[in-house]
Amino acid sequence: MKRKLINLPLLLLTFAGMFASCIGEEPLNAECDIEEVTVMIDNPGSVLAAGYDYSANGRATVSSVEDSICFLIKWNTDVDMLPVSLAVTEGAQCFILQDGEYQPFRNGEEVDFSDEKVQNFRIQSQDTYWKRDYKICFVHDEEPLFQPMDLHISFDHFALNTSDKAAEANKYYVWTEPEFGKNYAGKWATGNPGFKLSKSSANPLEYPSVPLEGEGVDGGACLKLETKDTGAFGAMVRMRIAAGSFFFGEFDVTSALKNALAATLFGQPFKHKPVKVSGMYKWKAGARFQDKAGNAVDRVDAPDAYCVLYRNLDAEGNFVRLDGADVLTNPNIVGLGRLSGVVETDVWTPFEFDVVYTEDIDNELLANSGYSMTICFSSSIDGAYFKGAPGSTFYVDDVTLKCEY
Amino acid sequence: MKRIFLSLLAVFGLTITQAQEQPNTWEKWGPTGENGSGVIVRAGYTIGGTSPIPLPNEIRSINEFSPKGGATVGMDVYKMFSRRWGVALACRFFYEGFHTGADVKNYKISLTMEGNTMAGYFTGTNATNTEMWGVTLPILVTCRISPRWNISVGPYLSHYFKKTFEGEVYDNKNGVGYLRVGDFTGEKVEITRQSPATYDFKDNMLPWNGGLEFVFDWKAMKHMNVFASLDWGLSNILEKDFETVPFKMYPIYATFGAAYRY
Repeated sequence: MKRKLINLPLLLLTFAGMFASCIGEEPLNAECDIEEVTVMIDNPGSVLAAGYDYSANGRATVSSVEDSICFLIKWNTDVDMLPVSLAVTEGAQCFILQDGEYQPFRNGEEVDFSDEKVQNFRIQSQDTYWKRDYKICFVHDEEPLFQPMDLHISFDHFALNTSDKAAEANKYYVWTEPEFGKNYAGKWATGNPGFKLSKSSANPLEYPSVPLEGEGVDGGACLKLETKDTGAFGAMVRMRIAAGSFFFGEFDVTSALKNALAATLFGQPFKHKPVKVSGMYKWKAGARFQDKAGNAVDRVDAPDAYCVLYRNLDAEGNFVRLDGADVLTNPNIVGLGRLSGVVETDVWTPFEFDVVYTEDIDNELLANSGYSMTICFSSSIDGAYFKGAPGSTFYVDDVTLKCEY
Repeated sequence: MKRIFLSLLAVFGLTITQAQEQPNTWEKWGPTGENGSGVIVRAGYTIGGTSPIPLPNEIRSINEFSPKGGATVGMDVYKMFSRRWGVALACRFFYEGFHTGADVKNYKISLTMEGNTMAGYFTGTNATNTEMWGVTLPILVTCRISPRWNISVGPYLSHYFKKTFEGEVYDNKNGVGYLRVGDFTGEKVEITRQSPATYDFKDNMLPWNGGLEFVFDWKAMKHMNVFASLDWGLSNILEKDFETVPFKMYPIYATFGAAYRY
């Protein structure tokens, strides 16, 4: 009789055994990214312009959305054959386009970068189902001119982005400003890629940062920034609004959900000394100001605009880039100007503000791209913290960045 | 699956070999009612989970598993047609649920809310919580394999009155947590535990589930059984066209308890 009692624990064990499921074989990697490019240069400090961490050779960290890696070299230098090493997704294979065909590429092979040649690379995933094509090149930085000049931001040059594979109807706009030179004309960013994560169905004109054709001061296009509700997905990650933004820098979508302040990378190397920003605006505050939790707050929204010049190398020679957390407070900032006195208006109204310097500009450093500049417009002053009023609309046009040289 | 069947066979075999009893005990432990019929009232602790079967390769490890609840109370009405064979109709009310944290790699997701879709492949940790309140209606064939042992098997249908299926995705213990938007060449969006992405699929759960029930009864006293039962779901708990979870999810819950035989 006693023997039979064994059966119950045995049964329990059997059930437990049934639930201890087997873990299957690990799938092969499907990604095919270049994560980092390293070029071996004998004296990188004298060849490369700022922008990359050249304390250890020329090394560029590549974000997941970049497919074109352009190293900037000083205007008065040249490069030739350079050994290249690619850090890619584990298990991925590298190829280089030679004579019209992709040939296997081994790290350390020399690649011809003379005369600003663009070299094409292809990365194939470990599971062989996916591939990405990349371009790597070396282009010359611009020669510093040290002449007074006005740089215009016209908002007239825009196009639907080509970097993502969304249907034409769901792409967002990107801008170029030709007066900022061939290397930086296209280095203008918005928060649109972040908004896209929450509102994939939005059409190009439903994004927070859009061009308005024919609505500009001069009859051309103007920039319209509008704070938008991000819907159910935004609430899911506690980012309920997206302010319209437009800035000189990059938007790193990789950080957009993790740490939104880190996603707005402000500034690009700049060889001028900006002293004044002027332009035209229209402004209307949204009806309901909300806090991060989405609760109504008794506050009137305000737009924001500022211009910052900062030293882009730290004491160890590492590249410094300001983000949403320190764009107005970083100790590397040498010049700062910010918009004030905005009133609600539906007619074009002029604005201007001076860039005020707290230390003298080191012209040699400036000539070597040792300073970065950003200029930023936003439809909600605390939009970076997801506080603002949906519907707040800031129109901007005909901006002039006056540079002493 | 093979392992599971082997385990079942082992239990079955073990109990059969012990069924060498004196004839009079068949009467002693037999049905209490007239015509071999009777009623069993059951109460038990329910434990289990909802899982894809077999586990897809995208699931790399299960780091946390804790059952929530659960409990079952119910009643069987049975009739034995012969010394060994009978049938039972049962009705059981249950509360069951679990929490699990699994490391996943290249886990396909496609989440649609308010007409917007976030689709892609996630690598990191996926934590899920489910809870279900409902009723299960099994029809069982009972085999009395020994005077004191009954095994019953049969199909069941479950209906959920209240259900939750929610969770979060974030980075794993190595700090890896990201979504590739669209496909493997799309933007890489990092997701961390400090700012996880949450989901709630209760509206995509079907109100009905069907499967097979196994009940193992041991007559401990004249009117008292101890039992173990297993409800093995054979239909997906999620809507057929629900793309967010690319696997069919089956509820598999076991109950351990005591029963009173009238």
